[in-house]
Amino acid sequence: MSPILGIYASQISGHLATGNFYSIATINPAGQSSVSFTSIPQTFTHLQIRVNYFGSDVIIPRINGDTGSNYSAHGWRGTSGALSGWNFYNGSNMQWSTSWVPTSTYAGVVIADFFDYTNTNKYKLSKAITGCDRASTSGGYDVMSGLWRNTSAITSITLPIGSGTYGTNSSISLYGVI
Amino acid sequence: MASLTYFPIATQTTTSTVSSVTFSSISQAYTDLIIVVNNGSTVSAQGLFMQINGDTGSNYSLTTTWLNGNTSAQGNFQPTSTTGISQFSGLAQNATTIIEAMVINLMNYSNTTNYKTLIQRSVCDATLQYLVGNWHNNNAITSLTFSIGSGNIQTGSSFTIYGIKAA
Repeated sequence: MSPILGIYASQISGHLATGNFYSIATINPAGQSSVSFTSIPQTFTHLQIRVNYFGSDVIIPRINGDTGSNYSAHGWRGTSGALSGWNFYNGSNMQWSTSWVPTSTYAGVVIADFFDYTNTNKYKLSKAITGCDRASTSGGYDVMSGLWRNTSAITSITLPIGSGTYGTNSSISLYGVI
Repeated sequence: MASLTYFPIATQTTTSTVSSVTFSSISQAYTDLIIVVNNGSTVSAQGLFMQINGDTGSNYSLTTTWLNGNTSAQGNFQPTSTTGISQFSGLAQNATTIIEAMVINLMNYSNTTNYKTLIQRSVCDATLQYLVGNWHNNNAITSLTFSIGSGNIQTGSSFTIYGIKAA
């Protein structure tokens, strides 16, 4: 790091571990319509998934292979127009929408958290922020919640893309938080 | 085998009002960058402005909306070709004290194949803002410069960059 005038060099820190955030696995899903994290370690408190991808405007997460109508999702969307809300109940998946289709140039991104995923006494809740900006009126973000109405611990997460396959240079990474 | 990540890379806290804060020679050892900012400006109603790798050209775009919790006023902004990423959380009432904060996620910042997408949330007392943006360049991100649209960055503003490395 190069110190900047007016800034104390002593305030420029080195690589100090925050100590509670772990890389678990990364998938490069190019050419695949669906990918999964399986055998997720049960040693963390929360999970985070970070996605940088190309392809469809939506990823539809499912937990533990459950394809039943056991999910709900709510969100708000910001685009070139007014804020808007959306929701669905009793769906067969959660929903991470980037509002617009990420092209090979403009990546869509997702940052999603799954809370207390090993707890077997409550339904599993997640939150996510997603977005894609294509340097035109085709841009937007979603802030959303997702609920899986099941008390089982999360051991796998499947991530089908809404249509087609994931594009080249897409990546999906799973992290654990103590 | 899970490995520890999410490391602070650098921190700067302004000890006087300054026109800009720059992080240079940013490590390329991570997958994503997370920038946490707590700032103010010397002129009210001025949001933070970010440029990448010293690029002052019209090579950025963004989509943002904000909502004021006091007045329920909301708005949006979607420049398709602009000279930086504008943080508009200060639009409603950013005063000359440090009441603006934001978390910026710069995704896959070291790749040299695609444009860079960022997503962020920010608050300014009563105002909440989300933003998705793009820098139209395939180069790896090696430096970040923050400034204020008009006026200077307030004394005591803090900027910290963290790195997350994927498995």
